[in-house]
Amino acid sequence: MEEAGHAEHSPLAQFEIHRLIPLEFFGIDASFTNAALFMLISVALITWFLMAATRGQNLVPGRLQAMAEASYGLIAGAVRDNVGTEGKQYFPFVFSLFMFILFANFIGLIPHTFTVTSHIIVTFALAMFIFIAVTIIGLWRHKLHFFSLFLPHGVPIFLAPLLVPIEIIGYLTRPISLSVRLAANMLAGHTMLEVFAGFVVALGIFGFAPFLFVIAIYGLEVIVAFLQAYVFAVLTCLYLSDAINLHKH
Amino acid sequence: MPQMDFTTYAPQLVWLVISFVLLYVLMARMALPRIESILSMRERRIEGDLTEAAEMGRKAEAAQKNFDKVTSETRARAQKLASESRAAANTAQLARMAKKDAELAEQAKKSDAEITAARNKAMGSLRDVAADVAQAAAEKVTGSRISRDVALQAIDAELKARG
Repeated sequence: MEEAGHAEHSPLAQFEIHRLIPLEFFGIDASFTNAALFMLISVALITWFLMAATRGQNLVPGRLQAMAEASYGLIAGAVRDNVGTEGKQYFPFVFSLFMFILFANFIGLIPHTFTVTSHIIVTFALAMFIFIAVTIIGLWRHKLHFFSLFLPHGVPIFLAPLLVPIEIIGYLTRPISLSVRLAANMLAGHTMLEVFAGFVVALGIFGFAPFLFVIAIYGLEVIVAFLQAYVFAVLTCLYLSDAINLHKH
Repeated sequence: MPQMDFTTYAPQLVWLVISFVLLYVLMARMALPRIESILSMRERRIEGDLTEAAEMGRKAEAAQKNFDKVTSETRARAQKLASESRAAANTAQLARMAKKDAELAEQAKKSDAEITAARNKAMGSLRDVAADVAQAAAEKVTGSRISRDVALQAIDAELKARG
């Protein structure tokens, strides 16, 4: 953005946080940054998209309404298939999560914007919230029986000393894998786009080769933007399913 | 690397919470209920249309059944009427024929009587003529006149003998 003409322009400059309005509450830095701006833009765009698309409440949907209904159906299907009917109360959360990540990813693909989900702290906060919430839901529903999650059914008891630690480690690393998968995908994709876009200018007349590559990678990134949002939502459903159904599912 | 600048974590987290809570409320209170109402409206509409179609189908079937029933009833009645009128016509014809026969028989009887009367009358006059002829013939042959009664007696005897 403002570093556009900067001499030492780095492919990572697009990820920099700028304090647009410095704020502080109770000693906590709550400055309104470009990240905050794009979070609010995502929220505004999601809300505008869904409300505008469903304004007509048409029996036969138009294009926008069909898209809104498809996004609803996609997440409702994921929740129903993975968690079951008891997952219905968590549907608004999973839907909000999916739309937030999806729109943040898509908006980030527009040149000169900021990608909220490329910051590990953001994705880690979301993943950690899911991890803690799922653990609390599981403990609250199944009490101590919840820990049977760490011993898969039908496993010979002498394997337990080996399997239980593995399962516990697997459980505890969930927020890390969930958050790193998303942030790393966004970071890598955007960095690669930036690097090859730099080549287009540097190579002059031969710049068309990296330019074609950038176009191809951009197409890939559009798919990745959707896929990562969907993967995040589906994994959230699976974790919820573990907490609600234990091994029954 | 900007991602590793820990001083940016606090403002990012604060605004992530603010925007995500805002989004959740907007979705749960506004957007999702609206989409749900559209979907359930469509489902209700389709369901309603299907039940209506089934109802119509049942009605059509009932109407068809009723139509078949009325048709067969009407046909049966028409057949009955036809056979009845045929029978009535037959009896009327027979009665007429019987009456005509009786009339004809009466006529024949009357004619027979007339014929007999005429013949008797003719026979009567024949006896007179025969008596005249017998008187005249006897006068010519014998020269004497026989009485009319004798002539009549002779004729009657002769007619009787011939049958």
